[in-house]
Amino acid sequence: MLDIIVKNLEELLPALKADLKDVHTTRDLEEIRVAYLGKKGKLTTIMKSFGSLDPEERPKAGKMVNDAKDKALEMLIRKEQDINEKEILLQIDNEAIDLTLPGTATPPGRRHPITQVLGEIEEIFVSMGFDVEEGPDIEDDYHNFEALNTPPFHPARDLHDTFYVEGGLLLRTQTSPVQIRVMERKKPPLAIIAPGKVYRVDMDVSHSPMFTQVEGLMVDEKISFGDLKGVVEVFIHQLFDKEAAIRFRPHYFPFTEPSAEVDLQCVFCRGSGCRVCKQTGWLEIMGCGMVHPAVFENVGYDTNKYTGFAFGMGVERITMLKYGINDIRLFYENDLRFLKQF
Amino acid sequence: MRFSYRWLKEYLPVKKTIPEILDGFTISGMEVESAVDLGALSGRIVIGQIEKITPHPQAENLANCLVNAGGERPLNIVCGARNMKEGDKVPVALEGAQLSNGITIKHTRIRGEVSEGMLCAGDELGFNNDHSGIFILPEEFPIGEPLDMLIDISITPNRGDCLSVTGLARDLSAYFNKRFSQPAVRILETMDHIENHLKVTVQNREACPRYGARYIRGVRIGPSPGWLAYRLESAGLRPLNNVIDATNYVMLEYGHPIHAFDIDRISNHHIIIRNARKGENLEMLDGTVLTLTEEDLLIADPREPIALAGVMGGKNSGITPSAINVALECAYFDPLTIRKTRRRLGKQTEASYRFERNVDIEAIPRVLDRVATLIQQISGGEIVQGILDVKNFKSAKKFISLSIKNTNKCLGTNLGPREIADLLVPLNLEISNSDTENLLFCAPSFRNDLVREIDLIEEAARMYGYGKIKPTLPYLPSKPTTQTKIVMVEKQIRDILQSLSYDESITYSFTSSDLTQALGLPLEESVKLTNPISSDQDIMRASLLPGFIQSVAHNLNRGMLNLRLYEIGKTFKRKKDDIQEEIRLIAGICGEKSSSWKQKGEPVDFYDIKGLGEALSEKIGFAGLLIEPLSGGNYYHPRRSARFIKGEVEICRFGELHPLIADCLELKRRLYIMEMNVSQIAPLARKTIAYQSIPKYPSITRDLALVLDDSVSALEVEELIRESAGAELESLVLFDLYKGDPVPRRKKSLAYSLVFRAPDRTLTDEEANETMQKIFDQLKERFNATLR
Ligand SMILES: [Zn+2]
Repeated sequence: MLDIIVKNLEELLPALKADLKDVHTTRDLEEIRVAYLGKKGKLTTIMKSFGSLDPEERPKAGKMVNDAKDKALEMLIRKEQDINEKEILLQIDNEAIDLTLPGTATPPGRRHPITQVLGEIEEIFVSMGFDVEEGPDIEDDYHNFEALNTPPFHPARDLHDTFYVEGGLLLRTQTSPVQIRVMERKKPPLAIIAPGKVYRVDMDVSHSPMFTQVEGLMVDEKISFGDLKGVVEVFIHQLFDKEAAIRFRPHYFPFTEPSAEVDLQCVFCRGSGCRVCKQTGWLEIMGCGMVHPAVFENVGYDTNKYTGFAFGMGVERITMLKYGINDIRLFYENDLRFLKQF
Repeated sequence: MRFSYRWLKEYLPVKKTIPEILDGFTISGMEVESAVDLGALSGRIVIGQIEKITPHPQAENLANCLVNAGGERPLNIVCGARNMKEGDKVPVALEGAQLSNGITIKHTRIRGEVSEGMLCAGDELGFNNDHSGIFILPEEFPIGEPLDMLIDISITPNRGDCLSVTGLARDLSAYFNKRFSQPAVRILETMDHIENHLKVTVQNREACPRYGARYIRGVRIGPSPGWLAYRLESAGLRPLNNVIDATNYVMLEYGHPIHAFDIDRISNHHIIIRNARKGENLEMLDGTVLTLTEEDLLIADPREPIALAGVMGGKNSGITPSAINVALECAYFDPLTIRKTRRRLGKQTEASYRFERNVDIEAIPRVLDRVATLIQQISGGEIVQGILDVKNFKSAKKFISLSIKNTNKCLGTNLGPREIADLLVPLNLEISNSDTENLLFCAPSFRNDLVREIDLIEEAARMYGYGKIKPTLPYLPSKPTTQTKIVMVEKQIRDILQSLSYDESITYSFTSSDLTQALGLPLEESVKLTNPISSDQDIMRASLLPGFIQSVAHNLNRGMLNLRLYEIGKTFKRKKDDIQEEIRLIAGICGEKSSSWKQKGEPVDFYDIKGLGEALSEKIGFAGLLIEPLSGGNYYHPRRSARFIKGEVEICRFGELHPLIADCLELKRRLYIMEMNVSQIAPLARKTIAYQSIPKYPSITRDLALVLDDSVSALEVEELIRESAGAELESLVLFDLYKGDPVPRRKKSLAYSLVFRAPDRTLTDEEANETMQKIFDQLKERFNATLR
């Protein structure tokens, strides 16, 4: 009897293998599974014949049946995976789409280029330990001029064509008055930048009646012109290009001495001379200098103890140089075709 | 200050190449505004002499010029001008020369004749605007040499001493470490003394601390020699006659303005320096008639004014071709007096520009000697002995002490006293005392800008070279950055708007009062500009709306119809004696929602701008807002505008722009706007996040589709649902609004999705059903709602 069972079992797996060969769908597979392993399946039938075995033959036969069942199951699972994979591969083939149709995410809005560049400038200085301060746009003559060592009728006032408002106040022509306001309020050590709008009666492709400046001020006991150079160089290298050459040349501002203008090697021609840099190879980036003792005297700082430096730059100009924009008025027209580029 | 390189070179005591000179100016703080090369740099424009002029065989209006340009053989150049003659010196542009108008010169044939270069007119060279003919050069100019270069230096307001060719040569010499001295003047005078011919009375001594005069008789007025005219023109001045030209020439040479009077036109030969009488008139040399005030300083004779001091001479005393006897004035006028007069009358001249920036009061006699000898040289005549020198000031040496320690502390250098002295002495600063710690300098009289120690430190740095100072980084103690609430909220707002596809705009802080008024905004508190750049920018904006609408209109008019735009900026308001500056936000949306090939964008509407208001308010920290209709919101659509309030405070307002305004401004789309006073609400924003544990028990979701009267507001329905649902209603979302068949007229259908959940157990279907029934009963009772 055992012999028959053994024979049946030996024939079972090759038969299954042969049957599986023609199976290609999950449904056919299920039929095969039922035919072999179902309640009336071939293996179950074999097991039913155990009743006729000797009790001592049963464990051996049981093991053989279990082995055969495990193997059959394994074959079925492997086949199922096989069919699955094939079905997915078939599905994939039918899922070709036009990859060139445009994507459909809603794009984020754009910050105004001036806001972006101002943000970069602020970030660099804040990372160096500067605080951001603000002051009023409508200023008095004292803070905008006199306290900055520019008394009435000073020739330097010619460079600042000033807007006045009814009642004698004026629109600040520079962000430098914020220096004065901060120094009136706080004692050194100080390291601040003051961004803001400034106003001058002027309008053409390179002048706007309103533009944006960033003022900087640092005051402490041992601040030197070398420190000014160091801070400005780090800043310009961060903002533009680590390799760019920088030049400090003497200039004049009433509220700093020594004063300097800072030139960056022309970013368009790399210094060989072009239309943008007027063939000089250099682009003027900012003005700066050591705070004039008269300014410290005006805010009650001890000039024997403290020194400091100040700098100021026009954000529009820097933005124009960064992106090659040639007309400053574009910034205030807010044409979407302009704004969307940044 | 523009001048000729040839002229400068004459004074410069060191031999330097042109690039060295230009760099020297720049690095020493004399910014080179422009440098027009007339051959000095390229060598391609040279001085030539016309040897022979013959008619062009093919063209009547052309000539063949044989020009000696210093080469082995003369050049043949075809020329269309007529003004030159044989023997004239002319500018020759050789092959390869680049003219300032962009033309590059090549050998060519002009109507069959070889032309080996070009003879240039003044404008072709960029020398002046003259295009009437070939530029005839001074006869002294050497044949074959490169012509020249025009250098324009931008001189800072503190350096009045550099508004002259010798002044610039002096400063540049110092940079090249060589001390410069003004050339000496040898003068030949008559035995007769000036006091016998001229009288000077200075009435206002403060305004005129020094007045010097010389007298030349017997001059012959005529044109100036070529070399002098050339130099005047190189500086942009027009030659007039030899006496006037000489005064201008010496002004350009020494930086001190000089005025020449026809002494025979001055009554009593008496010059009086006095203030004008109110309403006094003076006809100027340029023909304008000025009405003066008591603040203006005049030069007058006993009868009438003859010049506006330091600004311009009067017509009644000027040098005309018939002048014979000349009085020369060289004075020091108070810079402030000149500046006030000049500003009020709007008359800037070469003279006023220099007086405002201080002239060298000590140089007056030398300048008078120089101009007198020059006039004698070019106009003849004899110089009458002596100078009438009215001095109302004390000549005093100006001593400034410089501490070595302070110098190094300020610059971050380590210079010794010797090095510092070596830097400063070439600037004509005299050392009058020195020890290891301090140097005492005496400043030259022409350097009015040197007053205190820091001025000398700057000079030392300038001469040392900024480039040589080592960059260092200062120590900054690390500390938390301080950021105001307003700045933080402003940044949050930008982030949110950016994520919601809004682009940022920036408009001018000034706006039009007319537009402001047209928008129904009040003008009473507005800040008016007294000198606006144009009438449509005449007030400081009290609202962002006018500028914003202009930006919107700009885009709509150019076919950009779907826009989301915002601006955050300051607004200005007058509050009694004070001016209030506030940061405000305006955002606007119009056109269609973003559309794609997958989905057509629907037109935006009120709910899009309301949604923005909700999102912004919530994100910056305002929860539990109440909405209320905007009553009388001027420029808003009266039925489609509202505001969110928190207690008494308005957080933001929003709605459709009033259709009448949109019509009036011809806006091509309905515009929905939202406004927020950031300064006012930022301090109140409280963003608190308290974590709620993730629910342990499942929820039950039920839909509720109601049919209601049109007049019932969504808010009322929502409030009632929440009220009757109790605490287990976790969320309530309106997912549909429907009107039309089969919903009866004047009715609408609202469909809600309700989610119920209990924190401590699994809710049963029965509980949910019971609650839903309760909700519906309430809705039915209160609003006569039916189920759909
Ligand atoms: Zn360039």
